[in-house]
Amino acid sequence: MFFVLIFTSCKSSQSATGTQKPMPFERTAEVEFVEAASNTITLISSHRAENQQTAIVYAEVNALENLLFRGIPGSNQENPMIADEKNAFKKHNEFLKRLLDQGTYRQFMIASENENTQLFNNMTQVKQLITIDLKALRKHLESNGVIRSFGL
Amino acid sequence: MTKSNYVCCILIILTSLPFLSLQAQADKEKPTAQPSIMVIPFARADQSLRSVYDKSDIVRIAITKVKEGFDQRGVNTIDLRAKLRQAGNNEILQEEQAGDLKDAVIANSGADIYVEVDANVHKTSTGNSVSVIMTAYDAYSGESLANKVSNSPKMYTDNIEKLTEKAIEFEIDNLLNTIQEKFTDMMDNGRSVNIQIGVAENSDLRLDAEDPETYELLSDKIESWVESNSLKSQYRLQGVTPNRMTFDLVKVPIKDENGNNYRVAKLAQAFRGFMRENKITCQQVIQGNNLVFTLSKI
Repeated sequence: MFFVLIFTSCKSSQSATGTQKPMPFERTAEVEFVEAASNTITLISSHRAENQQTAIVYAEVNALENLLFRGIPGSNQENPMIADEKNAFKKHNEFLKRLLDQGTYRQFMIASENENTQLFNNMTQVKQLITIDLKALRKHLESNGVIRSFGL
Repeated sequence: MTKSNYVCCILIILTSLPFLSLQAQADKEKPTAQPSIMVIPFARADQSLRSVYDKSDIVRIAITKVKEGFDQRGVNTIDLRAKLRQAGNNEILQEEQAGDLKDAVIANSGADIYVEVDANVHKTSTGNSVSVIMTAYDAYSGESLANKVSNSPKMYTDNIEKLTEKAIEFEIDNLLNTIQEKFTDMMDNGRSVNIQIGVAENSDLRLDAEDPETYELLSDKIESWVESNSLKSQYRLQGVTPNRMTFDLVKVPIKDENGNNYRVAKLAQAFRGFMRENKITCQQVIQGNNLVFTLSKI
C-alpha cells in the first residue's frame, strides 16, 4: 500500500498518450525586427509550448500581437497598429478572437519559417522567421472598423 | 377614426421607421472634412520652394516617395508644382476682379498641413548614404505633427536615387503612423485655429479700455469669450498689447453639435456677434484655420 502511494504521487503530469500538459499562450516581447520591404515586415519571434506545432503557432500569434498592440522597436512599425488595445477588445472582441485565436492572421502571413527548435525541460522553444503583409493587414483592420483609415 | 384607419396608420408608421432611422444614421455619418496635405522641399530663407524643387534630383525623388506613401494610405496630396501653376493661372483669369494684398495671401496659401522633406547625400571612402529629414506640421498653428530622420544603408554605389528611396521607405510608415496618432488626438481634443485681433488704424479703440461697470478690460472680455467658445476651454493667449491680441492656439471641435463638419466661419460669426454686443464693429479675414479680426468702434 505504501509503495502504491509513493509511485502514484511521483507520477509525472503526462497524459496517457505521453504529451505534455498544454501550456497557455502568453504574450512576450521576444519579437525582433529583421527587415522591411515595401509594405511588408519580417520579424523573428520566439515562443515555447508543449510541442513544436503549438510553439510555432504561439510564435506567430506573438509576432502579430506585438505588431498590433505594441509596435516593433527599431522597425518601420514602431507605433502599434491598434493604439488602444483595451478599447479594441471591448468593441471588436469577436473580430480579434477570429484574427488571433482562430488563425485568420495566416491570410496576412507571407512566410513563416522555423529558424531554430530546442527542447528544454519537456518544453519546445522555437524561433520563427515571419513575414507579414502590412498593407493587407491594415486594410483588413480598416474595413472591419478596428482602426480608422488615414485622416480625421 | 375607424379601427381599420387606426391599423393603417400604425402600419404606415411601423414601415417608415426603418427608413427614418437609416436617414438619421446617414445624417450622423457625414464624411469628415480632411485637412489638405502638401509635400514640399526644405528651403532656406533665401531660396524659393520652386527653385529647390527644380534643382535637386534627390529632393524630387524624396518628395515623390513621400507622396507615394500617402497614396498607399488612400490620401490625396496637393502637388506643389500644380498649385504654383494654378496660382499663376488664377491670377490671369481674375485680373479684372477687385483684389488687394489680402486676396493675394489667400490665393497663395497652399495646404493645411505641410510635410517638409530635406535630403542630403553623404559620400565617404567607406561608402555613400543618403539621410532624409521629414517634418510634418500644421500650416496655421505651427504645431508639429511628426518628425523623422531616416538614413539609407551605406553602400559603395553612385545610385544616389536608390539610396534616397531606401531611406524614405524605411521611415515613411512611422511618419504616417505618428501623423495618424495626432489626427486621432484631434478627433478627441479638437484641432487648432489661430486668432489674431487688432485695432483698425484710424480707430481710437483700445484693447485695454476698461468697462466702467464691471472694471473688465476689453481684452479680458475677449479672452473670456475665447475660453467659453473653445473646446474644453483649451486655448493659448500668445500676447496682448493695447492694439493687438494673439491666440496662437484655440481648440475647436472637428464636428459641431449636429454632426456636421465644424466651420471656422461660424466661430468668426459668433465673435462678430459678441463684438456687436459690445458696440464694436469687426472686419474679418479667414485663411484656412487662421482668423484675423480688425476692430473699430461703431
